[in-house]
Amino acid sequence: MRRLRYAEALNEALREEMRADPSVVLYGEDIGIYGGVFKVTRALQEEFGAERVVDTPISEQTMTGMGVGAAMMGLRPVIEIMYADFLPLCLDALANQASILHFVWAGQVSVPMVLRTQGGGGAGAGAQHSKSLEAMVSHIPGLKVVSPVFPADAKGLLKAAIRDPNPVVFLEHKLLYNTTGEVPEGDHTVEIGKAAVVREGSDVTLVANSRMVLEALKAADTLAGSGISCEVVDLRSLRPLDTATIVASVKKTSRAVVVNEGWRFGGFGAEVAAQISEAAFEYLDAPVARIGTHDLPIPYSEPLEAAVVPSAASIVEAVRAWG
Amino acid sequence: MTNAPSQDELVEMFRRMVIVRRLEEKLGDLHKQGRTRGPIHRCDGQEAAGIGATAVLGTDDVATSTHRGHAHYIGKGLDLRRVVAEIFGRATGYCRGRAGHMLIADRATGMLGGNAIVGGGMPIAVGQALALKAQGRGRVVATFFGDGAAQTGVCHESMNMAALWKLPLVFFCEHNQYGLTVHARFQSSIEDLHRRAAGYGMPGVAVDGNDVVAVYRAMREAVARARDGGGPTFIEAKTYRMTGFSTSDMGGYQSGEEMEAWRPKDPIARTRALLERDLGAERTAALAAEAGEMVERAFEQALSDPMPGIEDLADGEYGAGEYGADDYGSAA
Amino acid sequence: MTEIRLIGAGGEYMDSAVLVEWHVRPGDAVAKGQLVATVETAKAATEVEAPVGGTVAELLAAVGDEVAVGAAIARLAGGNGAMEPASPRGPGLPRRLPAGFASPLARRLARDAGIDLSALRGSGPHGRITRRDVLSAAPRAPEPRPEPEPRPEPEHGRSGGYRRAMAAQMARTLQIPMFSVSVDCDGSALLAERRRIKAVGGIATVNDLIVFRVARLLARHPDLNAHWAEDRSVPQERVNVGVAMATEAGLVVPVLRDADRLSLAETAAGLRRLRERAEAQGLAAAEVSGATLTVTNLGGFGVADFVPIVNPPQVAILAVAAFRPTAVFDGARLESRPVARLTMSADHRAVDGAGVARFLDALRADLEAFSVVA
Repeated sequence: MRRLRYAEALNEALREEMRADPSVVLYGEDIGIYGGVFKVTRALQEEFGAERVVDTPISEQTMTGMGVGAAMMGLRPVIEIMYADFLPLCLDALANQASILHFVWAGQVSVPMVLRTQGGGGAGAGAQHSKSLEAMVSHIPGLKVVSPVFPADAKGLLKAAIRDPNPVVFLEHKLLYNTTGEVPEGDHTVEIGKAAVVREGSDVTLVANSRMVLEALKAADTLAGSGISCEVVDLRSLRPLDTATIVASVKKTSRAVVVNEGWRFGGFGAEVAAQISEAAFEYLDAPVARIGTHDLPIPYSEPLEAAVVPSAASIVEAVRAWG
Repeated sequence: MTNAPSQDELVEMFRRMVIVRRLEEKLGDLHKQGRTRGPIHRCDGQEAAGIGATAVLGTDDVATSTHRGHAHYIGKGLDLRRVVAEIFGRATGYCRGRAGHMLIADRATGMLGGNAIVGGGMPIAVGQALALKAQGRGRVVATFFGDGAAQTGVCHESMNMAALWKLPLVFFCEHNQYGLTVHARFQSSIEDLHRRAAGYGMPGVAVDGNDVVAVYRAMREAVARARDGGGPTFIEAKTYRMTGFSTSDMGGYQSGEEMEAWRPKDPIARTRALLERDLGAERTAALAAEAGEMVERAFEQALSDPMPGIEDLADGEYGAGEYGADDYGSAA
Repeated sequence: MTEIRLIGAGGEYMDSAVLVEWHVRPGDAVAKGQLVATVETAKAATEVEAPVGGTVAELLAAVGDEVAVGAAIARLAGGNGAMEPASPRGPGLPRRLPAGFASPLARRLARDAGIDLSALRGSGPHGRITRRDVLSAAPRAPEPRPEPEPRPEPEHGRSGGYRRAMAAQMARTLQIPMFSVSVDCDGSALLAERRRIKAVGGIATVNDLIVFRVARLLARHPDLNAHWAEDRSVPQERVNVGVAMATEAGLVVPVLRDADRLSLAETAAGLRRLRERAEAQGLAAAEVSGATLTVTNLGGFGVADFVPIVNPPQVAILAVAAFRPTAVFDGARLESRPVARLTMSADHRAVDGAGVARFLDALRADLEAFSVVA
């Protein structure tokens, strides 16, 4: 296997799916000649033409609704929304159209659409370009939501998302694009709805997604030095959620710390914590802890941003504090 | 007269307009008896717009509708009994009772579909037109919306993108003067909405929305342009909503004067007069009576249809990808 | 004689329930509040507790029976208290909680082990009673789970019979394709930690420290914490470390159960207790079975290195030699450090050399960086 950057793994997934299936089309801002502001669509317009790699106007709301219409007519659009912070613009198309039509129209249409976007803090992008809105999109029945952290999963899940007959929100993180990892060549897919235990341990389960998995792994290294053995569960998919894997781990360790970069209040971590409490109450030796971004707009200045966005250090602190 | 309907087509449009009017009146009656559920949005007075425009579309063509879509449903060829069944939440309805009257869709006739978010259907129509263009089959999309939806952001985004990419799409605006209870003059910076089309580089025309022949002719020209790769057209059909916003509307904002001014322009009366000239009063009356009986029968049947069982919810949240690109308009 | 009756919820939702499981048999002693049966209503499975302590004399209902609320389902003999008035709360509602503030896990463990939580003091935050507190109140494994026993372990007793069993067991090992891997481990940190513990009045042997580390590491190396069954390796859910001990009667290998979940103090106390019982030849059969990996330490004899033999169905065994003063060049100067050779033998059908090497490397790193433990 070769090592690829996260952005390259996504690019490879798009290229392979577009070669295999002419109904796969890309819509987004700056995705054509420029190759996307994070270079995920690099050189795809060159290979597949402007009819299949479409630079759209800055019209996120219509772009997303357009994806719904194209998908129900048999295309497989993959939409790039430059920042997760723009998801609120897309929300009518997601919450009132994409997610409901298969059900409400009694199965008469499928909406095989993928909406890719990237979120997260840590890059000094400020309050309107740093959010993690997992909770907002995961709340909606009919959508699937994934957020891979490793390049191999990024490729495998994107291919699975494109082939899925349902709308899938694919959440990336701006600080992951340049991370590297081994990525299988060829037709590598990862099933949506399956978490992965990425580090085994016995004392506490750290449940994380997206970039927070990397922070959880760092925290686990630190804690191992003081004899605390952490198991790290990478959720990979947020909806459907692999509750079984989370619960099995918590039953083993009896403690859980949920790490999600979104805001704590009403956040995705709260959902995971609730699932654990419901399914593994009698196995818990401590309250389920949640780590997330402080309930504030994300500030720009470096020390301020670092203070509100979770990190390995805040995970270590939480594990120690929760006994 | 260019693009004029044949006599057979005019007869059919008349028949459908009467069906829609009778449908709305029946719904009004049943609402007063407390037998309807949720708000129902009638289109009394606007029948010529919906029926005249859909008469030009083939089954292969696609239409997106609004919360006030009964004329579009009937015009696109949906079965009346199954429409009524859906309005009454029956298992035999087009969407097995999941949708209700605002969200009816029928894949087979290309009604995709009703939409209760004002303006919500327009971006979808852009995507449908983009797909049809990519598939290169000469099919077109008509997106119906009102003067209320014309004020949304997505309307402007959609017009820009459709014109930019020369999509096979017709923007059909039913200007019925009211966005819910507020008159258009308090909502729009200009009175003639079709003039906005020029700003997006597409043809915009105004038409008497209560004249089914005029609507038919304008739509026929627009659809032909779309089919030939000439891009979208904006049609503004000036009409008037003779009933309230919905069955929950308490009224009080439409002046009697205004309504009396529109009453003589009733689209059905005008079409009836046209037909009586060619077919005679007796045959025209028979056509109307037959349409009315059809509505009665549809209600009788639909109201005795079963309610869905809750086991219908078992197939759940996600689809398994039952349909592909070729499954649409399969009734053609 | 006291009867155990099915108590209703006091509301309208339950008038009968189906008995789905008995947790006691006639002749069993039960404590007041002990779970005796599980019943299922249309709403949920709930539990029936003994209203008083005593001995189960007779079961009056069978699994599958529908039992009316108020009906007796069992009789208790020798009740040590009068029947309490029926609780207004019935099955499905929370039992009366002890005064102590306990984690849900601690409550379950205490319930299963018949421990009265109100007698415990919590060591967790805000005085919370945690698993640790319950485990230390119940030295015997408080989570009785059926343990698969792929083959009988050698019988251990006062006679020489166990030596014959041991011989037969060792002969079986000849069929195992065995290999060994060794590393040298700098014990400076380890010995410093032992000195520190001693200085604060604790008791821990070097072997206790090693077993403690091995157990935690094993939880992350399921390939080594495994049993060979017929034709495949089966990773074991629990980490039970067998610790070889030389006694007057010969070699015995008592088992420290769930060793990965024990604190260092618990590990030391557990091994001390096992050693005392081994020396008194008082080990029960259950205390010498079920190991998932064995540690054998001949450091006390000053040996430089030795190669152990895997004890099936385990797939690996760790040998610890003596920490001997050894000249070590740290890149700048030559120093004398206590270094011991760690050798692991393993069943090649179950694990390969790299797997063993990874474990040893991690163990060495852990031991060389030994520091204060949670």
